[in-house]
This record gives sequence, C-alpha cells and structure tokens, in this order.
Amino acid sequence: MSQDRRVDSYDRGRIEDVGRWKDWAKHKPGMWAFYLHRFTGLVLSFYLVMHLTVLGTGFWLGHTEYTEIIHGLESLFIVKLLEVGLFAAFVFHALNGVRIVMFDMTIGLDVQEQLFYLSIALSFAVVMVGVPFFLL
Amino acid sequence: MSTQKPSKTAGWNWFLQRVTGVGLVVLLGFHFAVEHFIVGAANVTAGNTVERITNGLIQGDHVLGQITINMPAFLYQATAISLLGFSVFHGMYGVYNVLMEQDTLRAYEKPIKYFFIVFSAALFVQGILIFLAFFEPFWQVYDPR
Repeated sequence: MSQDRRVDSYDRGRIEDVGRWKDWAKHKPGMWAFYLHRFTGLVLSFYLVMHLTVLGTGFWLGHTEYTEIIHGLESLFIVKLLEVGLFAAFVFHALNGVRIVMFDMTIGLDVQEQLFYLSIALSFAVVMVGVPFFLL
Repeated sequence: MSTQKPSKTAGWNWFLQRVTGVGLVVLLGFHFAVEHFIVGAANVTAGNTVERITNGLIQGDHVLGQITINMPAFLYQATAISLLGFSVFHGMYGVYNVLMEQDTLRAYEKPIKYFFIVFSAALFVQGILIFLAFFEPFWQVYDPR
C-alpha cells in the first residue's frame, strides 16, 4: 500500500469516538474547531425546534397571547443573556462554516489553523458589537 | 476505512448542506438584523410582525434609533420561507449526520432517517402555519377575538 498516496488511505482514527475526549490536551486547533462547530450546530438546531414550538404555541393561542409570550420571555434577564449566547453560536458557526466551505474548494488548507483563530477573533468582535442590542 | 459506496442522495445532501449553510449566513444574518438590531426582541408584537410579513415594512426604534425599511412584500416573504426551509434542512440533516457517526446508532439508520424526514416535514409545516397566521383570513380563523 506504500504506493497508495490517496488522502483517504490515511487512517484518521474515529473522530466521533467519545473516548477521544480523554486526549483533549493533545488536540490540535483543527480538532477544537470541529468540536466547537459541532457543539454550536447542535445548540442552534435545538433552538430552532424550541423557537418554532414557542412561536407555534403563540400561533395556536392567538395574536394577543403571541405578543404576551414574547414580552414575558423578554422581560427575563436570563433570556436576554441566552440570546447573546445564541448569537455567539450563530456567528461562530457561520464564520467557521465559511472556513469549511473554503476548504471544500481547496482554499486556505495550509493556513487552516490561522483561519480558525481568525474565526474566533471575528466572532468575539461581532458578538461584542451585538451585546447592547440584546441586553438593552 | 469504510468500503461502503456513498449513495447519490448522500452526495446531493452533502451539496445541499453547503448551499443551505452559505444561504443561512445571509438569511439568518438578516433575521438577527431585523428582529434584534432594528426592532429589538422586546419590542416584537403580533402587530408589527404582521406589518413585516404582509407589507414588508420593517420599523424599529431600538439602539440605533428610528429605522424604517420598506421592502417589497414578496421579497420579505421569500426570505422568511427560505429561512424556514434552509434552517430546517441544514439543522436536521446536521443532527442526523452527527447521530449517524455513532457506530451504535448506525444499526438503526433507516428508522432514524425516516424519523428525521417526518420530523423535518412537521417542523416545516409548523413554520408555514405560523407564517400564514399573520395573514388576515387566517388570524380571524385562529384568533376568535
């Protein structure tokens, strides 16, 4: 197999293996990007289901209740804080998603670690700009 | 290494996951901009949601001050429906893929796949019903007052 130079001939191991968490100290930035992308994706998917359920409840109850549900939730500080978290999850997932699509087009593969750091830095900057819009 | 040949559907789904992902950067960005940056979540009411969905009229007085944007109604409606469709596909196909990477769950691939197809369809229909609820003929049906 030594002549086989295809990329997929390299055994990457089982990245999905939960047991790999034990080696977290050895993880390279690309692995952290993978974990963060996955975590934010699951958070956003869970929120999507919740969002449509809450709006749907308002819809079945009527317009007055729809407004009351939104105002009731928005009067809670914890909800506003969670919204900042949701925004952060979206911004990181979007920027890292663009990074992944770039790799699909073979752009930036040799600077993938730097691009991960860039997506973290940009996410932080965008979220900081967004904070007043969510908390005020 | 897996010797299983990827199916044609898997290839298409992979491609659609990319297309919807790029689309969502724009659509979800727009959604956040309208609901949180211009209107402000605490100022959202059924009344101003009706204005946005039926007339494309985005009005807000939040951190940036008074802002009014009058979009063509069909364009606002198209972004809303696309956002719904793209987010349901991207989110549910993403979760399905995460589950399918677990060897223990791969044995149940078919039932899990069908569950996600039905669940995604139900979420999409739920979203369409919410969307329609803001048009007058429907809100009179569902909101007796």
